[in-house]
Amino acid sequence: MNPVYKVLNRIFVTEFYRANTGFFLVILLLVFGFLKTPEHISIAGALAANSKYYLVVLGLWVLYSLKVYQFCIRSKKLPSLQFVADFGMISSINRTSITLLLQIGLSLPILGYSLFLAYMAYTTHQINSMILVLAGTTLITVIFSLFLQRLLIKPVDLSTSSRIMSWTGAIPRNLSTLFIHHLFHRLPIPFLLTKVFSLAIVIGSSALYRSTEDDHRYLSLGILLAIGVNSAIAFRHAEFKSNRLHIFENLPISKSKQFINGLLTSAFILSPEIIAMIGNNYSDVPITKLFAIGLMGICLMMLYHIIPSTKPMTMDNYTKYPFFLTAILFFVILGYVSPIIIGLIALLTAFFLFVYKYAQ
Amino acid sequence: MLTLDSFRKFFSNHLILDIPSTTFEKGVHWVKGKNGSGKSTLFNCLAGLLPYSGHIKLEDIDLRKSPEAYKLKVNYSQSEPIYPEFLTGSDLIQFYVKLKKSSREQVEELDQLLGVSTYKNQPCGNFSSGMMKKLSILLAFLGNPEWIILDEPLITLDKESQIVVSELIRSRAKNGVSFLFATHQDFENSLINPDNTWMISNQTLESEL
Repeated sequence: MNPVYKVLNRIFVTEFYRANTGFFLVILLLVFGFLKTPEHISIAGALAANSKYYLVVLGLWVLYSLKVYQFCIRSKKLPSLQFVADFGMISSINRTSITLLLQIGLSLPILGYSLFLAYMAYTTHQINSMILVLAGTTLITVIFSLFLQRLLIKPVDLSTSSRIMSWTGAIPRNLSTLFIHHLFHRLPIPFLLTKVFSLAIVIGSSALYRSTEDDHRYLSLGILLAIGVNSAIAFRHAEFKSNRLHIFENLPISKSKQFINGLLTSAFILSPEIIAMIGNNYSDVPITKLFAIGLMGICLMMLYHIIPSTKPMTMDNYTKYPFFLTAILFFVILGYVSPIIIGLIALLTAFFLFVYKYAQ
Repeated sequence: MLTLDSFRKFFSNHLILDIPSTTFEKGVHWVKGKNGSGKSTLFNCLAGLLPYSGHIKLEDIDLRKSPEAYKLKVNYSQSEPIYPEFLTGSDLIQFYVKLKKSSREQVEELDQLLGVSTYKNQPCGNFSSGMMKKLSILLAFLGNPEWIILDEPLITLDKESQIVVSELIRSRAKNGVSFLFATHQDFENSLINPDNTWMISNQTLESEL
């Protein structure tokens, strides 16, 4: 294997799939958990009936490719990947072929699904649809491989912040908000997508609540699922603390103060969802109930943040914890357990894990 | 020779360096400057790692117009090199051998001199700062560069390795390779004798001789 391709493949392709395990897990659950194979075939067949429908699919492929590209931009800004700019030293033919291979590796899920759609169009004799999906997917892959090539050889400033982030200067800079600055400056797109997704869940759960007879469990379940979506951010928070703020552990700050700082950061992260929940329901639900659900959310978020701090783990290893905790708590909430009790247990567990980490 | 023309470097809106025109003639150059004066930023730009405005040329080769040809002749080692922790030293050496058009013999020679062979098959995440520095210096000497830029080449190295690296620089300089250094260590009693010294202050670069 070409050593240049080997290194770039390890840096971008392997790391992309490692970093997005949770994302693919959710997609797999959505796509294959709720839809059975005959339903997939029916949907693909119906889409193939009119080639215009496949444009929607191609639109999704563009969004996926943008996500991939965003990951590569973020990776390229890492100080440890500055050397990748030397990729520009090989001939343009080699460069083009290597970036095309990298893009194919990064786009495997959409290439695979496009082949499935093309096959479905072929079996239903919708040749136009088949050509559209194959040509469209190829074009997207080639165009994004050219973007990728340009990105890899282009020198970049490590501390680039987009203009839109200038307002973050208004956020105070202390131990509990440093990670918020990090999110806005280094992970703006994943942060934004996470918030869009989790806010949609909270708003959806509020709508469900209004359509039922005052069943508060829908609001608790909405926050629980929203925290599940935010668990990737909780992991990044732990990672940020161990990598970037490691030296801060040398500071004379008490354990309890450090714990409270973590709790405040969790509250900041989860504030959009809590505000959305309170804003949507304050006229129908007692405010104490809404605060109890919000506190449950903050405590669970803190627990999700403490888990990866207790021992070194990859995102891959970490995903199972929020996944199973969400699944268990889903049924606990359905069993009418009060959110304040769940929150207290989560907070105590988080505190004991935090102390255990210090004991180590 | 390596020339800078209308060179400016900003971080966001903050001007870091403003060098109207400077030429580094062939030879060994020592760039001095206080912490934060912009030495590493200048070197990162000269190595093509950071964007800049103006022109950087090696003879007639413009870094922006012909980065391939330029980078083949200008090698670089950062002051505190970091590489992805999951890549091994061998991965990086093979990567550079291919890009810098180096040979197996050259790698073996540098391997033995710097003692990288004992740990190169381990992931970079296991390296100490000295091991990382030696690997980075090995990579900077691969191929047939006309210029080698070394940012603090001796820091984090043990005494023995400092002598090896100094000898390596001296022998390459004798063979016609030019060097650009930045270091806070004094060369007066060292094996390396710079032909020219430069000072970065007030966001610009001036010759001291």
